[in-house]
Amino acid sequence: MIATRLSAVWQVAGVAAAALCCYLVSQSVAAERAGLNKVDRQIAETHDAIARLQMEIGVRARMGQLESWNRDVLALQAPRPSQFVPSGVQLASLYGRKGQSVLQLDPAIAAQQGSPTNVSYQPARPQTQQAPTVTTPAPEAMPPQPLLRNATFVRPAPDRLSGMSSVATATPVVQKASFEPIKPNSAAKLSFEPAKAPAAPRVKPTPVKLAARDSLKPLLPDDIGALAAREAKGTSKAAR
Amino acid sequence: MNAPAALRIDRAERVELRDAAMMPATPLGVAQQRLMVIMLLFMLVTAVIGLRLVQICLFGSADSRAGAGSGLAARGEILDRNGQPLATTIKLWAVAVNPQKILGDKNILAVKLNQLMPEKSVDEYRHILFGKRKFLYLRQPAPPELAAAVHALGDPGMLLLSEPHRLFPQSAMAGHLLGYSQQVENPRSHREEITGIGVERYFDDDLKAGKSVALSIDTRVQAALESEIAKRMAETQAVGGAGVILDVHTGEVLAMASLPDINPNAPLRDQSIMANKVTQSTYELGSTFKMLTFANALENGVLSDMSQTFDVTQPLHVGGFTIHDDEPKHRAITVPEVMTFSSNIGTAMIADQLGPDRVKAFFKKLGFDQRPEIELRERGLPQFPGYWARTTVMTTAYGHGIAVTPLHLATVYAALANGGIMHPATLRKLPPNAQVPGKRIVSEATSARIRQLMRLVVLQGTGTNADAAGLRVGGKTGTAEKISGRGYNKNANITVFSGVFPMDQPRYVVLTLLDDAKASKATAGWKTAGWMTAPLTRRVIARVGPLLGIQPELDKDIDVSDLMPLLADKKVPGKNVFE
Repeated sequence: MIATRLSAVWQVAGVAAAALCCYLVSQSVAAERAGLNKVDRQIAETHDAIARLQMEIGVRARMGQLESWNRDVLALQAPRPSQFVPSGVQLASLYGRKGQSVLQLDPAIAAQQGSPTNVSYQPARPQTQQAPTVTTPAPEAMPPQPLLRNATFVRPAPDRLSGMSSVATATPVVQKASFEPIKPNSAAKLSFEPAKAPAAPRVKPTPVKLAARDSLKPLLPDDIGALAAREAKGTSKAAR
Repeated sequence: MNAPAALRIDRAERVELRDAAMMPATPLGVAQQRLMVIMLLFMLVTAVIGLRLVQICLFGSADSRAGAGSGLAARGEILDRNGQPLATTIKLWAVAVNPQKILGDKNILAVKLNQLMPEKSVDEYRHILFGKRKFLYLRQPAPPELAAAVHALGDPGMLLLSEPHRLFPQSAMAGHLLGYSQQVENPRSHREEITGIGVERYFDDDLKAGKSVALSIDTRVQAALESEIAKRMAETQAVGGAGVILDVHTGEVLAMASLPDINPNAPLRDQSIMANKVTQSTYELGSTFKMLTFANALENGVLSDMSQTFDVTQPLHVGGFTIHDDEPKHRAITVPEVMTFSSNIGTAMIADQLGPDRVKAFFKKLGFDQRPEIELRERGLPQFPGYWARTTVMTTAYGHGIAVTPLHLATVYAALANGGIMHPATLRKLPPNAQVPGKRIVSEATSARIRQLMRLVVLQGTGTNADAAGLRVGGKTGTAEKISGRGYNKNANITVFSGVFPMDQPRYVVLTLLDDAKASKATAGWKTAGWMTAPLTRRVIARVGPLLGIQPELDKDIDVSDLMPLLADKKVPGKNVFE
């Protein structure tokens, strides 16, 4: 009876409860959405913080600042043209300057393939009638030689040339070759002529061409370079 | 038919109501029932309002903040060609005050504010706090420490705002190029208008939409160029300097410097140096134009024989003008010698043979009668002669009587070196192997000959000081008296060197310009380009060449052996060279 009387109330209450439930569902969805927004916001804030830090690093390491540090504090300079090495041969030629040790080969490779002493620049002893052999026995009487030689077409570094005189006199076995013009007086030790080794007597090679050159030698003056320079000087004076 | 049905429903309801009313049997019960329903409705509405309030309190602000954050896109970044940021937007604090909402003692607050921000006195702060304004910035932007200290004051009238701020991390580097953009109110129309200069202004729409702009600029090259120009300006006491480095094959600008520079972080401090000297200022660029005249003459067959000679022993008198050489020669000189000696007389004779029509047409073909093409609004209009008299033809041949921007010249030198195709200069980074618009201005053969002449100038001519070892530099010096007012200032020069490297496979044009560089002991008393901008160009190229992937090679060079016999006086390489 009472239930019948209050049926309308129950209906309203039921509707209200259902609406409330729906509303709570929407609330929970809103809460989730708010949570997502919060995460998005945190991500954005983190991005901002990263951007700020990157900017701070960027500003502190700006090019002008770096250059002043490089110049004033670290005393760095831009590399000179001679410091650019286009090939491995030129790189290898940079070793062994100013009395430094020569470029050391890997012992494993040296044991396996042998030392490159065999491909020395030194003119081979004349074996006129024999075919050239790859494994020439190392000369016994020769002083120890560097493992790696400079290729002939490589321009030697200037300071290397300056230190050449003492090296050349001490070990006059290997001559460095250069395509630079050689002054007759000062650079006699750098000439292509085979150096004279006073202590170790050598057997002169006797190829045909060399013999011809030897036969011409007495006809030429001793210092033809100096003579030519003197002549050129005189000519230019006369021209004036 | 409807009426009876309605009557039936009414009757049924009445019966039902009567039955329901009969159960409580009193009208009071019906009233109570109705009251309860109404009360429940009120409770429901109140609960809804309450829950909504809770929702707004807990989550409402988050929604609004998120909406505010995502609705307005941050201004896009400006990047260099390697992705380094040149301009970006970060959020910084700003300190403001609303004096009407101050709760604490304003006198004490004024003292505290003075301690935190001493740029204003206590009296000034007191004046602000007791004033009638509702909003006033006190520090914008403010460092985080200051923001924290202001927050610690705890007064609701003190406002901390997180605001976007445009930042240029490289400070004043490429200031004219990057520029600024801001919205101001036009005092006449009272409308908001965008003003500004540089890339910021040109790409304003893209940047506003949040798009990043990748420039062709290389930060390292830009820094090196600016640093070397500034150093040379200090050495020669020049009042200004400019420089530009272009890719000859694409027209991409790798660096553009205009000194004294502006700091885009605070661009409007000095209005007198706002002009971009590379794209906006026009100069008579002197003997650098000789290369153009030679190209024109080669193209038109006027210089078919390199061994033909020009008598430059006497100055030329044409139409009241006298054309003479700085270092007169007392003999006839060959075509390459006209270039290496930079003979005005010889070049004027060549231009005279070309005639006004061909000279004018060639300059127009090069775009010297129009503003330069580049993505900037600051582009200067050249001073192009209106009437081409014989004297005009002769003087423009060596860069006098015509004024263009340095960018004009750099673009043309790029074309002369790259095989004859002129590409418009661009500040956008182009993708690899991009199709670049271009037009042919000279033939491949003319370009090859011009490359030889450029290299010859550096090997044997006025540009020996520009010879960066191993980088095969070619180019031409140019010296012109500075225009001041209606005439020339004989004591002030504009010195230019426009160079290309490496000449065997041209990659880049480097143009440097000094404004009123003074002679000194370091320049052996000279104030011509060979002693001013040529050494500057050499330093720049020596520094940026390896950065751009061009290694110095001492045993490589362009073949000029067919022209060398035509030079009677040969210079010894490395002799009489600056430094």
